[in-house]
Amino acid sequence: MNAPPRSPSIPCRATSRRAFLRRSGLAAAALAAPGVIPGSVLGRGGALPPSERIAMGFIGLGGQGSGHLLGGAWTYVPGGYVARDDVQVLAVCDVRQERRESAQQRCNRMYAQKLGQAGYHGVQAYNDFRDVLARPDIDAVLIAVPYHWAAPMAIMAARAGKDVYCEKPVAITTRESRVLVETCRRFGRIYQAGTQQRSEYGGKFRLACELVRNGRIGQLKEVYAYRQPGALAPSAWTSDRTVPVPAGFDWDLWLGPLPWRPFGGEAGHTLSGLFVGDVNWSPHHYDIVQWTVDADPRSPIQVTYEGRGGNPDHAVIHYRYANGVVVHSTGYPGEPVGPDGGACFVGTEGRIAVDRANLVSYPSRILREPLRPDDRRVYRATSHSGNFLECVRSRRPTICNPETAAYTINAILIGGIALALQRGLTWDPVRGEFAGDDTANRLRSYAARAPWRI
Amino acid sequence: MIPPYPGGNPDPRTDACLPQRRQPALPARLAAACVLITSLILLAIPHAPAAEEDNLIAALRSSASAARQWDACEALRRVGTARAVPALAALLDDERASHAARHALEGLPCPEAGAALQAALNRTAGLVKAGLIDSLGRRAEPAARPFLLPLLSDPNPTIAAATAAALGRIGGAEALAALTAARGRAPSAVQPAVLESLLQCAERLLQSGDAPGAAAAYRGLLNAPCPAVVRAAAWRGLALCDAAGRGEIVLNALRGGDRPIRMAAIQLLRELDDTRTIQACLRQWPSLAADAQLAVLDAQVRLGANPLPTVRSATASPHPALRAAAWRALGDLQDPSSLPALANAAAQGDPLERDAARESLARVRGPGMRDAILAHLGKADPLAKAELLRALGERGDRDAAATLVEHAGADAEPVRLAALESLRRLAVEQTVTPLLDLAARSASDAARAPILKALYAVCQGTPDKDRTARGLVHAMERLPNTQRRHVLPLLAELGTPPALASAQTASLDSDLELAREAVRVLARWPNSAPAAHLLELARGGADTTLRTLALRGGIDVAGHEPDPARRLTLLRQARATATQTPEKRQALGQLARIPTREALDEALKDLNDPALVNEAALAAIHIAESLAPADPKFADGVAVKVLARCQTPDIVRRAWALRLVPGSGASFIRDWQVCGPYRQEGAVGAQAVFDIPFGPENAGHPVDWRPVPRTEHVNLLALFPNASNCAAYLRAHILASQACEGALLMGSDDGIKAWLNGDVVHSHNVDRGEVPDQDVAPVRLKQGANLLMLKITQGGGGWSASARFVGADAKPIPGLTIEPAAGK
Repeated sequence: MNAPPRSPSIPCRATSRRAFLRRSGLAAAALAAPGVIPGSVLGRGGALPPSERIAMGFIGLGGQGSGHLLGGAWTYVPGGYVARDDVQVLAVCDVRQERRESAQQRCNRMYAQKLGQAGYHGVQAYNDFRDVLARPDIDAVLIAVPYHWAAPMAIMAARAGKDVYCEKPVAITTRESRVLVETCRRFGRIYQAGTQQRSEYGGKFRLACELVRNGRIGQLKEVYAYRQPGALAPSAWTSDRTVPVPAGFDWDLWLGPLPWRPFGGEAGHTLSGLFVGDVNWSPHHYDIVQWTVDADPRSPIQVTYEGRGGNPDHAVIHYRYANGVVVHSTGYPGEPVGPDGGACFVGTEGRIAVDRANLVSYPSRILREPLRPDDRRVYRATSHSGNFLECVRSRRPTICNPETAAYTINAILIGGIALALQRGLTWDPVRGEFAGDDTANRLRSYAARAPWRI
Repeated sequence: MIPPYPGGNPDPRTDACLPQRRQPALPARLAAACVLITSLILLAIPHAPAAEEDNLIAALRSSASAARQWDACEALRRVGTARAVPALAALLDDERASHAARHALEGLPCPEAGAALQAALNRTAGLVKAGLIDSLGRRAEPAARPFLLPLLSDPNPTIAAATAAALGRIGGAEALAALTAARGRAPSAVQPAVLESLLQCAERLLQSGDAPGAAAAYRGLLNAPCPAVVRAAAWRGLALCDAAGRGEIVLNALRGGDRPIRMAAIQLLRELDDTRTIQACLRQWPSLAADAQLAVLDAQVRLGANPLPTVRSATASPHPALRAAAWRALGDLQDPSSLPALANAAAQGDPLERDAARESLARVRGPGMRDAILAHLGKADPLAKAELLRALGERGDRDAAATLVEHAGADAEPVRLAALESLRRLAVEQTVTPLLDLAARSASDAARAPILKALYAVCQGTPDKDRTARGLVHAMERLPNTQRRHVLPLLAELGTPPALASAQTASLDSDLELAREAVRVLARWPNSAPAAHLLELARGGADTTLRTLALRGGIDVAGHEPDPARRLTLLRQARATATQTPEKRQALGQLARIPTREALDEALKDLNDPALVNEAALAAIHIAESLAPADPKFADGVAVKVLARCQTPDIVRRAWALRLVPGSGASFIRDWQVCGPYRQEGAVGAQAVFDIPFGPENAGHPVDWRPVPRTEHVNLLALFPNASNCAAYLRAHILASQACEGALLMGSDDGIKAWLNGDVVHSHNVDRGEVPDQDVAPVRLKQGANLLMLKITQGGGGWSASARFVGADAKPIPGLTIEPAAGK
């Protein structure tokens, strides 16, 4: 059954979390166990106000979302968020009934076991994420949804006063990324983008970044990113293909701000024909690339398009940053390290290639020499989700905060627009527009289907 | 047929005001499609933009389908001008087309587009109107303001909320006044948009330099009964407006009881580069709660505003998190006097403090810091001393190698281990001799292990292995045999000619223990240089154990020989010397890695020996697989020989794979039944569901088998759309006119398990795409009916399977018929 259309709003009543819990039947369940104060947080020593668990809702329960919630090899949180002592899962949400009910039952069972309360039912299941955002007792949400929903949901969550962990791609237009930054700033929200390579994989990416930034390969000249960028550039906005909507699936809500179309049997990460290039894996690559290139994020980026046979899928994008570094969307010839989320950094005195499994340098001595006290360090986090939760408590910016996330996704989107137009562009990040390029500027956004808006 | 638009407003007025779209007659629709296709083709080739636009406009006027209209509107968004506006405006009233048209109009940089959107406001209602308002807000043209202001009080909350949001984006005094008036008066569903727009208006005032105006707007929100998130945002804005009074504002918030505002103050401290505010907070440091102290401390360190006194004070805080932050901050401050405290915290703090202090010891910099570390080494207690020694290694201080060696023989274990760990990390060549001495003096293997690790690191990391080897050999010669034995493995790490000579000499020593250890070391050599020497020892050594070790080592290092012919010669020598089965098997294992016919012939010689048949068959198949692409017939012959002698399932399966040529004439099974999908809670991914015995695997379990439309390639995803993390089963009856040997060829996406007449004949738990015949299982079909069942697992994405039988000659089996298993 489809959700009734309504205004995408948050409730206006100034209800506190504690007041809500007092009124709610959930109070007993949610507070059944004593608040746990993690080691990184104030609280030990006895003189401080007691911390509470971070109350969370999980929106989107496909592979990525359920992995975060319940555990999975790639989610880096053993047992998932539900197993953490510093988190209390209160809500699970998906437009597929089977997914949300399965997650709800599993979470309730786990808490029943953990808390020794048979029949625990403190985890509620929702079809409509607005109902999750309307709960005043929820502090933060984890969003793992189809591409077109990531930014609108994160923005609405921030407006509702929730801190947000959001899976990539965090936005599909540069307008979305700009509004995301503005909204998180306006409402003082903590936001973490799910580009977890900055924190995970044993610090390989951080070490590569610090070695390059500290001149171990001489002056950085070029970077090979191993991935094409991508952008929303619809070749087919809608379709008239119709198949029956599966029972328990809210197709209209899945579609959300996209132009309406009948269900055509396709409802995965995105719909066919909406994107050019790659917006799914490329955020991992370009996040690490830009972290390492360390250009002034306010300076323009020149994008050039190198066609290879007329098919944009085979084209190469080159980015020239204000500090003179050139980034190529291809791999470094002959270098096997890099395709798995990584990059190859080429300097005047050597090169470093990194991906999730490997970190290599040429010459090899670069990696044997440890960083020295005088070397510059970057933001250090050893757990991406842990960093998010710690920042929710301390109000420190996360390692992939909205500005960083927008800087990464914008690089991908402007490269994707160059792919779509099959020509070069110059991006002005301060103005959020292409310099003197009316055609390209028209591709920075799309009109959302009412009542959705960002 | 296109179903009705479900996103529509239930307000009946919406439907009433929409024109009824007529279905054009077929010729008209064909003509419309032709116009559109022509226009889209024209878009793809370079030509005058005006012509392009004309074609798109014509397409819009041609009553094309909604999907085609969207295509044209998308194209016009990219290339359209004011000339396209009338055609686009004409679509604005239509429920579905309106979205497409305003998508184009929203992006057109001409005032006519905005005017068209404004004009359509009066003709529309419900969601269509709300969409128009949103597009006007996105265009942010002040000219739209008068059209929007009255709609702020529209009875439809969707329209009123969209209007509030649009006015927030457009801004201006009138918008601010209207929004302020609406605050508290508008329905609850509209309030959030009103409040956020007020925040936006205030931000715009602040950006334009009107701080008092912005502050008034923020203050209005702060004092109103708004949600906590809005009040916190207003407080934040107010603090940003007042640079002079910000310190006091922040302090009041930090000391106040309003938690959302207190948290906003903490966050603001962490974000702002505002020394004055930090100083104001520092003056009240003792009265602040620990979380506020932490934010102030972090901000002060970040700004470099003489934070040392605060940091020192924080190291004595009762709160571990604050102490940890202080230890971490000391890493950024050039203060040699903090070293003793850091070393103590690293040695004795809880894990949070310990890690922070260790990290700081490793990176603290500044003049005199190294000297301070060395000086404090003499005074520190053993645990703190160990932390300082560890830090020297982590700091990459190679000049400290002598100091580390000095402590590597200390009595206190933490000191000794920390020094050796740093020596391992630094790998300084000059430490070889003193470390060897230490190793020689070690009382136990446990005590020697960290020393050998450090020595290994030197050998691995040295840029001049030859020079290091000469130094090592020279130093080893001074050691008695009992001690030399322990350090011989270092020679293999270096692998240079002087190291080889030394190891070979030791292998001939009359001290049998030393000789045996030398042979073991030679067996681990990184290249084939010791092979001939080891084989010679295997043939002529006096001691049986040494001969066996030498033979096994000779076979192993022969495997490093890059020249296949020479490697084969060495292995033939080894094979001739071997008298025991284990060494013969070992030689066959190495033979398998030589992809030549000569090596294959050598392997086949042992195929008749029952003790060696498996290794010989495996080697033969392995080599034949390498040769098969160039000579499949030859490989087929090898497979025949292997199949005649060997029954080991894995080898037989690989032999079968060699027997088969692409394009085998056997038909794929086309008559299947299916059941599923089956899932189990918590089983995520194809590999997780593979071994879960679902219904068909359990005897007596009722199973709903359904026929699959006849196909050679079963697309399970089409049968079960959107399925993931599950499994399905296929089954078919195979009628054989007589019993026969053969093979079952299978392809699957993802994993596959096969049962023939109830027995598992194949099992491959994998996450992959399907290629026909990618798996092979040898099978025996009985005369009459045989029941084949396949289990196909699904993680996500594609999900499919195919299968067929071939005879022992890799050709179709005569007299084989397939039928679905229905009713049986």
